[in-house]
Amino acid sequence: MTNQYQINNEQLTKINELVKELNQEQLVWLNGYISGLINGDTSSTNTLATAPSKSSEKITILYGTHTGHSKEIALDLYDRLSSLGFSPSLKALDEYKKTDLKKEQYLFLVVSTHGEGEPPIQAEEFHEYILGNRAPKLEGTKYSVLALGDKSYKKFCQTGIDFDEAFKKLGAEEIVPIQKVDVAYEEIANNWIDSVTNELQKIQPATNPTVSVENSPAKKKKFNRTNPFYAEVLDKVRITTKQSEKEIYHVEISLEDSEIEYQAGDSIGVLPSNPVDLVDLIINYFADDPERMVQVGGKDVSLFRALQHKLEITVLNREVLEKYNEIVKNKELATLLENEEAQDQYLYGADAIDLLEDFPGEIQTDEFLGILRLLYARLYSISSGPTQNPEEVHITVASLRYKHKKRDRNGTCSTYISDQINVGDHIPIFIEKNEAFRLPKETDKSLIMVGAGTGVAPYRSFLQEIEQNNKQTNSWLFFGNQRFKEDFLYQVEWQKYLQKGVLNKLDVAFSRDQNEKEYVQHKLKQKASEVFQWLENGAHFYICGDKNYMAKDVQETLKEIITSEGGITAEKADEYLKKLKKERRLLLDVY
Amino acid sequence: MSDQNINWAELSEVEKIKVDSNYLRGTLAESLADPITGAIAVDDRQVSKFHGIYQQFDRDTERERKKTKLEPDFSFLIRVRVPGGLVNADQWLQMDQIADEYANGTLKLTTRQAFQFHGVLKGNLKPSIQSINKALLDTIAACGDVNRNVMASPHPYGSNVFDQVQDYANKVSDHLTPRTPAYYEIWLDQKKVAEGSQGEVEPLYGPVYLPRKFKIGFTIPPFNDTDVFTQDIGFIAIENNGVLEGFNVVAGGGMGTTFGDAETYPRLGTVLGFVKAENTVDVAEKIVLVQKEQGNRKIRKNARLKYTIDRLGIDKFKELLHEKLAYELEAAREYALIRNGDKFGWHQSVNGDWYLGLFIEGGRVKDVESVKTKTALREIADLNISDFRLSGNQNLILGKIKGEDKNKINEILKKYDSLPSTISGTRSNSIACVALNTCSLAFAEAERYLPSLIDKIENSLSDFGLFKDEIVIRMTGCANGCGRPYVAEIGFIGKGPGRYNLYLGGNFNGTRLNNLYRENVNEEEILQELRPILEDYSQNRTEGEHFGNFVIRKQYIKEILNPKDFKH
Repeated sequence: MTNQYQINNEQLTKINELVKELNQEQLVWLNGYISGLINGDTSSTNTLATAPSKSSEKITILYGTHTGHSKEIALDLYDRLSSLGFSPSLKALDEYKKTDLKKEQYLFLVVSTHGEGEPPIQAEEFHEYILGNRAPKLEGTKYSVLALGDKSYKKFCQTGIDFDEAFKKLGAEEIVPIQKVDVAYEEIANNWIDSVTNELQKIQPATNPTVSVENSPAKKKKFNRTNPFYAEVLDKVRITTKQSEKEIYHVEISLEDSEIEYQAGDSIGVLPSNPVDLVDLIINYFADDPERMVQVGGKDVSLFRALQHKLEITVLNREVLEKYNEIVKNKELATLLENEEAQDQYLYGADAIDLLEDFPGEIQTDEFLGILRLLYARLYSISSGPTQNPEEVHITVASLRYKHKKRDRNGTCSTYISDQINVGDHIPIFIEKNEAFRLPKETDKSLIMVGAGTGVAPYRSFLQEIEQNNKQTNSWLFFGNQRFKEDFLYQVEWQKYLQKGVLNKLDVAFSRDQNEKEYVQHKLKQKASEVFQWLENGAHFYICGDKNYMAKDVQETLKEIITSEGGITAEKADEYLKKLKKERRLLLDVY
Repeated sequence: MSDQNINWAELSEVEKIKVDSNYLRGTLAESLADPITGAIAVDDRQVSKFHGIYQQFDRDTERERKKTKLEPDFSFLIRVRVPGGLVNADQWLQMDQIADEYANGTLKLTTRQAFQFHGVLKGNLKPSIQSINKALLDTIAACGDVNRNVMASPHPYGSNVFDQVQDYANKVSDHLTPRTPAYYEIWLDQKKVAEGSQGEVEPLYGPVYLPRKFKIGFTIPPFNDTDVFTQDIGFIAIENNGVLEGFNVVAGGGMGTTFGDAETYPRLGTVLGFVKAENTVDVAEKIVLVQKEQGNRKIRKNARLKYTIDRLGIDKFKELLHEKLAYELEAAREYALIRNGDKFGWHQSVNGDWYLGLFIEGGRVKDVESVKTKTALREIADLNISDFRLSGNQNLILGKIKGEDKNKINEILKKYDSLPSTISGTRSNSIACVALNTCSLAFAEAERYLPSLIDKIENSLSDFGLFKDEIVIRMTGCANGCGRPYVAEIGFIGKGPGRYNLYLGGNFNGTRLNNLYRENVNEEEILQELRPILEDYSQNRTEGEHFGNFVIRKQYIKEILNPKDFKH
């Protein structure tokens, strides 16, 4: 080294002496430090006083706050640990992914208590989770809790105590005992931060953590319609208000131990059970014995079970009508069968008991069973992303209820889920692949997603995937329902995605919020020029939901947009749409 | 304050929001147009206050909606500024209509003589404010870090100077109203004036306005129904043989405190001296300016004028004030205040007009079953035979009524079951803030609960023959003090669901702070605590002795001599 850089010999000696003392890791750090100095990057000069990064320790700080005090303390701890070279992560309890819990090495929780020992709203869900039986084992996790409270209440710091006990019960190891603080909290809070910091500083930075690679076992179970997986229902929550005319549920279903895999865009099939009251009506009609064994699909089952689990009795079709009339030879029905329009009208909303009562004739129970179709599975678009939820599927189910001929009718499967299924029950499901409704393979594509009502489900799955994998995807969601206040499905989730930039644009149409009904296609039309621009730039266009009205109207509107914005004839616009379909850029999941 | 040398990081974050808002515009226009949420942007929630608008949500349905993956049921409170609480019949009709059309169908009369609409959805904000504007009223500076609605005693009683005092309230109000055109641009669709062509936008306030809210009230002795000692500036009218000579100036009152923060406390104003009537506006302005320059902009909880005065010392404060005035305040004049409550029923003023004081429980004008007060008042307003005066105790006075019209009013009130009936002296001196379910600050119920608590206290009152005795009783859902609970003879401050701190020992004319008697008590405990004291009061009070004075004399509670000793 010559002196051309104006470093004198004394300086050079010092440098060499220092360098000799340093290990590889320290040299790497020094390298960065010096280049920081050269670039005038103050953040790296600030690290002069800090130790080398101890980032290999996973440290998570969680808080649940109402007034903001818990958050402040959590931030203080975060700052302290960061300044010492740790890499903690900091999250509010309502933003924390519960599935991360079992990965935690060091967990610090600051939480307040309200009223008579209640958690702050922000912490409610997590509180319920950790105290419930879905909470994972936490062996290997070290933790400490700081509980805020007010001594003038009877259950002082109860929420913090709940968490502390739950962690303990789940096998976590307490490294600093729970501290409970009153309204004047600063001193004890600071002591707690000191204790936590001291404990962490005793830990040597972990070197090369061993990653255990678990290969999926060779024998994969295959579940399908005939061999469904009995999946546990983990959660079921209505996501429309009681004032809403729509009764829509968000249902979370466990895939644990099934080795079932799915992709965004797939559906699940649910094998439902028929409503018991309808089964009873049919058995009473024949004055038969529900326990009498009958044959369905070559197997012996009881009459009751056949009607409840094996045969389709809530809906009819033309074939059933014809087969039925081959036996009963009812003249009225014969006339109806000649008139296709009247027939369709009749079929809408009619079920097996209607058929028996409307067109009476000579028919035995077993003959009747013989003309009924086998009960088919109902498909629901999956509303969870597989990367975020590898062991769960979520679905979004609207309960179909209506009155027909003075009798309450229920959609077979939707009311099966809303009325008969509870958290903890097991329901028979399988995955229905849907290659026709996939995210683009390239991550830099744009998406326009149009969905009304539960048709928005797969887009939740898409956005969860985008959040995990394809941050550069541009996305635009058009959502419609009846009322902003009552049935804006997954409203807070879309808001979060907009904030994070996972979703770029969201337009909403609420048909009942103004005098003129407004639907998603009207919103599309209002944004015609931008929609066309997105298409021209290669956007993928998705439609999900009702086949007969919404999907038709949206495609019609799309054609109008292409005609007017592209300045082309209707025929050319048709070609444009055909081309989109061929390129798999116009994708439909309709029902 | 010059912008260059300000270290925004060390100031409270609201200061930065104010300066960035470009004279109260913020991103309100964008927030209003966002269809994805019923809320407005976080910073706009500060800015909107200066426009008289608070974002709130229904706390009753918060949990359920969170589970439903829906945002809270957001709505807005709109506060209409009414200096002195005085409106005409036509304005009352329009407020009545706005409540039905855009809000929850009720009118709240506030403790600062303002109208409040609750439950206004975001999309209805603009039409509401446009309708308010058509009624020749506005909402600017009804909230925010500026001078808020100027109060003035609405009772003419025996005074000749009532109209003059009301006139000074209007003048002070006008003089201290923000000048920014933002209000007119955002709500009334007025075109933006080109930058630079408008000179100084806020000659008085500047771009960061005041450090904290600012409240002014006028009263005419012997009445103190505007609680002048709880105002940042109180003006006590001094009249001499029917002529208004001027006002005693009181400064540094304020109610708000924060639980657990010993640096916050309620304080009664200090009498600074006397000002001649013609200098009233000038003195108000100069006190505002001292506060603008000296107020604490780092810690919002210590930003009110009361803390500024205690930090500077009263002498230093007066010195700074006198530097700004071209004259000194004269020595305070003699005055006597006897009560801070309202008078109800029919009264005739010195010039022969009639006045009807109506008790409005919790200040809520509504129709409930057969008691259709809102409808009754609308029909009275339709006749256009009176004006309408909102009192600082959430009540209403129908004023300037000709003798021959009295019966028409009585008839209508009778028809809708709203005729003033016998109510206890305690209930008629009650105040409750809004609290749950819409106020985001509330820890406990107030307006929805106090009436039923008084029902139960009345059992004791009746037992001891105290039903007609007037006792000032006030309840707020949190420690911020909107209902001025710290000067009540019996004060309740919400600590948590169903639990209150119980304060005793304020006096009947609003010139003494009360003191913490029991902490965090529930209904049963409240009733148990009060009953023996009321019994003792009924047996051992001296002639004309008010309850608040009695509990001090009998040493149930000590008087607080230094507000910093206040416990909460």
